[in-house]
Parts: sequence; C-alpha cells; structure tokens
Amino acid sequence: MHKHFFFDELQTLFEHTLENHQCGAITDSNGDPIYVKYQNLPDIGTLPRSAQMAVQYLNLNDRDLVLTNDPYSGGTILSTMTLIGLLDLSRINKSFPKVMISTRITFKPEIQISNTIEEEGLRIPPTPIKQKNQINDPILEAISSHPMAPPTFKQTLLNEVEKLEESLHRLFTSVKTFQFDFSKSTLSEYYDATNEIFIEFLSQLPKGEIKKNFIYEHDSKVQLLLNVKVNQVIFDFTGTGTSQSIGLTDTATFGACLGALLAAFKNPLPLNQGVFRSIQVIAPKKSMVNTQYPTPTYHGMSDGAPLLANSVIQCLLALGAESEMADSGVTLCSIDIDFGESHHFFDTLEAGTGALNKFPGRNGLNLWRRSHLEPSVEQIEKRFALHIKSFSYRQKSGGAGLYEGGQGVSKVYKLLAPAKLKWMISQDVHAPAGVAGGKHGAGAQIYIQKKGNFKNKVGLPACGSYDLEKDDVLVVLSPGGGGFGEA
Amino acid sequence: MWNVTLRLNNAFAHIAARPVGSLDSESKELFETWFLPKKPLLSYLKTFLETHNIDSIHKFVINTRIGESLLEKGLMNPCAFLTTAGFENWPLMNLPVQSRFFTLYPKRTSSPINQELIFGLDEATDVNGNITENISEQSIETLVAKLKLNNVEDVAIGFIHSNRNKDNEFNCGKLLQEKGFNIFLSYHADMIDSVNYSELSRWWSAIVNASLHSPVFEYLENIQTALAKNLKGDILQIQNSRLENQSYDSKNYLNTCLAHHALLSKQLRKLDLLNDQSVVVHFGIEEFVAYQDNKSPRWLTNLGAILYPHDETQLLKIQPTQVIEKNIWGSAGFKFISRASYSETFAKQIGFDPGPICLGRGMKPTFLDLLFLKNKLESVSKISDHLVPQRKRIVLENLLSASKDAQKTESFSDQQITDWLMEQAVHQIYLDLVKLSEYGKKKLILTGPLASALTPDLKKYIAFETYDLSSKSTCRYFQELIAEH
Repeated sequence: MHKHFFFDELQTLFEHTLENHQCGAITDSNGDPIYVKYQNLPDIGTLPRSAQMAVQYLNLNDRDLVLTNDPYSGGTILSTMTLIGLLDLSRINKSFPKVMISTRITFKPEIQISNTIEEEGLRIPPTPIKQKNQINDPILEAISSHPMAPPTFKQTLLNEVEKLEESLHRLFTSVKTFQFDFSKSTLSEYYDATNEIFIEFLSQLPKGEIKKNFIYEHDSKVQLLLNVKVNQVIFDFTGTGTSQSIGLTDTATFGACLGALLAAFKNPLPLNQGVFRSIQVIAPKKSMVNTQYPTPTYHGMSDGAPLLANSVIQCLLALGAESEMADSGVTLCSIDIDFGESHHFFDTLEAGTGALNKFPGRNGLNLWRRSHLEPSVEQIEKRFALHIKSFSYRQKSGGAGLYEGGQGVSKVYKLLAPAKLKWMISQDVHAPAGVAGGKHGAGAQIYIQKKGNFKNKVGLPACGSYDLEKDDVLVVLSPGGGGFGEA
Repeated sequence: MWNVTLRLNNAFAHIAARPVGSLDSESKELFETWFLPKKPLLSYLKTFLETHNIDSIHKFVINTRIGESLLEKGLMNPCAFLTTAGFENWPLMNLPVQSRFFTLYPKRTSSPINQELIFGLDEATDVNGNITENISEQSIETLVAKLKLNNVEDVAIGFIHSNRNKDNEFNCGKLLQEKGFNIFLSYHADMIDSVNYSELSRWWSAIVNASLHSPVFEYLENIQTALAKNLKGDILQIQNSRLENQSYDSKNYLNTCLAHHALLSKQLRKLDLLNDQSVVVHFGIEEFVAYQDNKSPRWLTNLGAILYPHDETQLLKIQPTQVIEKNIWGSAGFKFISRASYSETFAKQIGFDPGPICLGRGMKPTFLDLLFLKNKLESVSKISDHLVPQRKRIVLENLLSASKDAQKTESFSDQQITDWLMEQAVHQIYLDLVKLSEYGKKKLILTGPLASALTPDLKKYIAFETYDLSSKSTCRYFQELIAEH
C-alpha cells in the first residue's frame, strides 16, 4: 500500500485503539508520541511524558501496567490518574518496537488551598500495579486506604485497567491481523510525513518574532518571545517570574503552547513526534511555566494552562494582521462545597470566548477543554444538600464592541445544610481584554448572600475557604469574553 | 379490501399490499421497491394503487424515518419551550460542541429552539416531589400573549423535578391546551428510569417531539390526502418504535423515530437470529447497522442524549454514502467527523440527495461508488437498475484527483487506488465486527443486500454466518404485525 494511504489507515487504527477513552496517547519506547488524543491543554504534553517516565524508571514487560498522578512525572492534577500499559509488538515481528498506551482516570477533584503538592492531595509516583499478569493488590490496598484517596479508587481503577487492556489488545490484534508494517523505520517515515504537513500548516501563519508580557494574577508575570519560523516554532519564556498561585510543569506548558498553535490552524493535525520535534519551549526552571517540586499544581493545570494558551494566541495574531481575537474567559472558577465525611460537591463554570474580527464570542464555551460531561441539576439536588436557584448565561458580561464578547455563566446555589466552601478563580482582576477598541469582558466573581439576603453580600477573593451556613446563597460568575472593535 | 404497508427509508421505499385475510397466500401479495430520488413518493403511490386497482384499503400503515431525518438535518420546526425560571439557558448551554479539536471558532450543534422562544416560569418542585410553588394562571396569561405574538403553535414543557411530581407540568400544559396550543410534556409515565438521568435528556425529548410535530404532520397529511378516497377503514396509521400503530394525526412523533430499526430487530428475534449470544449486522444500501439484543433508555443524537427507550443498534464506522475525499496525507481517504461529546468519530455521509456518483446525480465519490468500481453492485437487485455505468470514469477521476499529492512521491494505478481503499474499508469493518462480537464471544451474523459484496473480503479476517434477509420478507413480517393488531 502506498505509504500515504497507509498513514491514513494508521490514524484510523489509533482512533480505534483509544475509542473507549476520552483522551490518551500511544508512544514508542523512546517516549516519542505516535498518537495523542487530548481533552485539555496539559494532556498534549503530559500524556507522552507519563509513558516516557514509566519506561525510564521501571523495568516493564509486555502488558505490565503503571499508575501515576504525579504532575512531575507526566501527571496533571492529583485527582486525575494516568494509567500506562506497555505493549511488546516485537512478539509479532522482531523489528517492531515496544509501545506504551497512556490513558486517564478522572476522579472528582477536591480543592486544597496549599503551599505544597503533598498538601494538595495524595501523590502517586509511577508505580507498577500489574506485572506478569498479576494485579499488585497490596499496593492498591495501600493507596485505597490513604485518607486522601478517592472513595471509589480501587473499583474505578480496576474498571479502567480492563479498558486499557482492551486497548492494548485492540492495537496488538490489529497490527497482527492486518500485517501492518509497524517497524521503527516506518514510524520514522510517518513522523517525517507529519512534519511535512506541519510545515505546510505553518505556512498559513505569519513568520517572525514578537515579545509580549502578560500578567495573570497580581504576582504572576509571563514574558513570551514567540518565534515562528518556516519549519519551527519557538516559545521562549525567559524572563517569566515565579508565582505563589499558578504553577505549570514544563510538559503542561508545552501542551498549552502546542494546543494554542493547533487552534490557530484551519484544520486538525495528526499529533505525533513529527509535530513535537518542530516545537521548542524554553521554560526557565522554577518559573511559573516550569515549576518544580513541591509547588502545588492544581491552579496551574486548571487555569494556568488556558491563560497561557490565550497569551500564545495573542502573540500569534499580533504577528500578522489577518485576524485578531479578544481575550477569552478561561478560568474554570472551581468550587468545592464540603459537607463532611468525604461528601463534597465540586463544580466548574464555562466562560465566554473572545470576539474575533467578524465573529462575536461564544457564550459559555471553554476554548481549551473538550469533554462529554452530562451535568444535571436534578442529580445535584438529589445527591447534595443544595438547591440550585439558577444555571444560566451571565447577562451583559461579554465585552461590548463591534462584535461582542461571549457571555460568561452564572451559577447560584442555596445551601440546605452547613458546609465548608473552597474555591479558586482567575480573571477576576485581570478580566479578559477587548481588542481593536472592544471593551473588556466582565471579570470572574464569587460572593455569598448571607441567609439568601441579597443586601447582605460577602465578596470573596480569588481563592480561599469559607464556612457556609444553611440558607446562605453562593453566587459564582465566570468571565465574559473581550469584545472586538469599536461599537 | 386491502391491507397496505409502506416502509419509508430515506432513499428507498418498500410497499406491500395484501387482500385482508390472505396472509397464508403468497400469490396474492403485491410488493414493490421505489427509488425515491427518481420520482416523488406520491407519484409512485398513485401509480401503484391505479395499476393494481387498489381502490378499497382497510388499513394503511407507514413505518418511516422522516423524524430521524429531520432531526439529523436540523430541519425541525422551531417550537417554544417552557421551563423553570432560572434555567432558560440550560438546554442551549449544554448542546454538544461540534469538534473534538481545539479551534478559535468552536460551535455548538444548531438548536431546534431559539433563545427568544424559551420562557422561564415561576414554579418549583423540590427533590422529594413536593410542589413548593404552583403555576399561576396569571403567569400563563402573560405567556399566552407572548406565544401568540410569536405565532407559536407547538409548546414543549420541561420543569425541574417534574419526573418526581408531574402536577405543575400537567397543569401548565392543560391551561395552555385550553388556549389552543399543542403541548408536549417532558414527563412520561413509562420512563420510570428518568430519575437516574439528567433532566436535559427528558426536556430534549419534549422539545424534539414538539419540533417534529408540524413538519411530520404535514408530510403524513399529504399522504393521507392522496389516499383519502381509497381508505375505507381506518385513517392512515404510523408505526411507532414499540411497533404499535397510531393514527397519523396523533401528536407523538418522537416515538415513531427508530421504528425502522425496531421492526427489523423484532423480525430478527422472531427468526431466532438475534439473541443475547449473537449480533446481527445489516449491510443495507442506505446504512450499515448492527443489531444487539438490548434496549437502550437513551438515544444519542447530535443534540446530546434524548430520553427515549429503543432497541439498541450501532452504526458501523464505514457507511454506504460515506464521502471519500482528499485527506491530510494527500491521498483519497474515508471522511470521518468528530463531535466533542463523543469519544469516537463518525462517517461523514452525503445521503442520496444528490447521492453517489454511480446513481447519476452526485459528484462526490462514496463507498458505494467504490463498490461500483469493483463491480460489486451489479448483482444487488435493489440498486442495479439505477446504476449509470458511464459514471465509473467520473468516480475514478475524483479518486485520482484526491490522490494527486500522493502521486508526487510514488505513482500508482487506478486499480491500486481502488484496492487500497477497499482494503481500508474492509479493515475498518472488521474492527467494528470484532468489537461487536466481543472478540468472538458472540456469534456474528451478516445480512442485507450489500453483505455479499463484502463477505468474500471479510472472510479472511473473521468468522461469521450469513443470512439472506430480503426487504420482501420484512414487508411480509410488517403485514403480519398489522394483521395481529
């Protein structure tokens, strides 16, 4: 088969392999990504890294499985686990490599306002949980019994193990049945062909260098020197400071940069080493874009990565005059209402996207997250002592302009029992900016109406904790997108 | 007197007619297949009735896919939606995002309801089913004025927790019905599991039902009018997904969706082909679909999940009218689309209007055209009469043009392109089959008019049985069912 037809079929094979997972990656034994299916920005860089770390530090055999959630080993937030399996394709043909499949298991997050990653939750470094076809029960029991482990950890993990094993089986069976040439030389050609497509995509973008500074929180300064060349893109964050609140690992930063670049292209691009090798990210150690252990990472992974992607888009668009985009609301406005005894309600909000030249922003739509959650007001009220007064768009929150920014979202909860509230928001002070004369979108806000009395309002800062009483009403408002052009 | 059944797919219709009481005699059966892109349905119908002197019809029952088709194409009629105040935006906020990939121009699926026609009412039912705020007649009066101003006729109603206590929804519906509106409630007595699902899936079922009402009624009324002087017994009836017959002017058209699959499912069970140990894959000219012996409470649509119990089916990744076009590698390839709500991809299909190149009108090559190039369609009776042999050249030109870039690195022949594409299709179908059969745990049975075109290639990879299930046999079964009722 002509290689271009074969590469198309490889894409289909990879889709089939990861069909049952919302996100995942297939990597070769060097840690080079063969295929990445993402759900959010950090996934792009961290999924392949998790596999690379697993194979680097552990002696793995065919169908062995590894578990980690450590952001410093390719994880993201601590409530999202990464499961990695090794598949030895040399059993089919000696010239075929070992490959890794990494997938995610998402547990309900819990916000911890903390100074270290260890306080943020249970951290699991890359740990073999199945070897030589045996589940490592003692390890699973030890993790399950940790006070910070998710309540349904073991059963959920075992279900996901089954799904990952099915994916490994699918890939193996397909390569064997169709007698695909999966040799290293063919993979190398696949990467080269992808690289050619990437360079062709790059030709859509203006070339050159631009340097911009961004402020996310009062103490978080990002400096980005973006250099778009004919066959490479360099993201240089030299000059970026540290941050008390937002910290991204270097791989999450990589994911944010590449994710933003992908969004700027007109068509989707196959994601593999052919693209990765043409991206360079220079992220000074200890800066907020290359944070080190033991900095906590929840805020960085949830809000920091999208904020960074917004900044990359601003730089990309500033290089050329074809189109401009106002800032989008990207903060998740994470809230955690803890009723005690491990019974807590967690929620996030979508925000408004920035307006573009000729297009208004989108209402309540996250530019940088793709998921298939099915939220339900009735299920929330069934499970938690909450009465949902409203879930709606936040009226007049999009920045005014020739094209208006998208509206944010408003969620109003009434407490039917006392609880402890914890939250993290961004884009409260630094609201999404308008462009070309368009106005700022409304900044994120969170406040409480004591005992439901709208005259008795308690405004809350960007993050913290608060003891809620019965009949208190919590109002969370996500930002609207910036407007474009003068109205 | 005659009993007439009409199975209406998107491109093909199958009509069967029998004198009442003659089920045992095949010789008295009349059967025809119509290709709808060629001539309007009513024209075929008129010719059929006149040719066979069918002037006295006892029952005329339709099994149609019109509802699904309108939903898929976003061609439903806008309706009004009434919900609990504070949640007017909730359905639109949760429409699926179109693409799985990051883009600066993300879009949600188009909605059948406009925000301007969504109204919030002050009412409340709590999680225990207690009504804490009743619907007021005053609020209804104000609402009626707005609805009339907007020329609304069809109104869907969905309140929070109405599945725990339907009274507010019922009362609201009753008041509006008295004012002349057609009402569609989200509450369904038979949806006992609805407490386990998001209210959105329940509300969407009401909205879809309301949105289907006018266009489907109009469609059926045209058929009823055409039959008026011939129908002596009941008025025109339509088969629903429980395989019951309902009057064409009944209001519930949502439950006629997927009736096509329900009919085939039941027939397969009756033939003992479908059970919990088997999967039947039907390779039809319009779609490739797998039947399983399961019921699913929700229907996954481009609006998201709709609460709608139905026989479980699954579309294969490769579909007959799936487009083949230039892919990112510079070669011809099968086109798939993604939706953010779903982790899988779906075939991009063009349907039959204008349809595949081989049928004379289309300009984009499809999988059917590939089978046409491989001479696999000539023996398929339903389609062979409509093939235009001269169009093979156009198919080939399209495939070569799509593969121009790939030709720069290494040239290849016409035969090679068709062989490689066919190989890709067979591989993809195999991947679906092996998954459906749970890696050999379930028996695989292949049937349908295009099965014979594919089985020789599939045999290399997977074990299966075949069964020759004709459209005629399904129509006969349809006749049996209406005779029972």
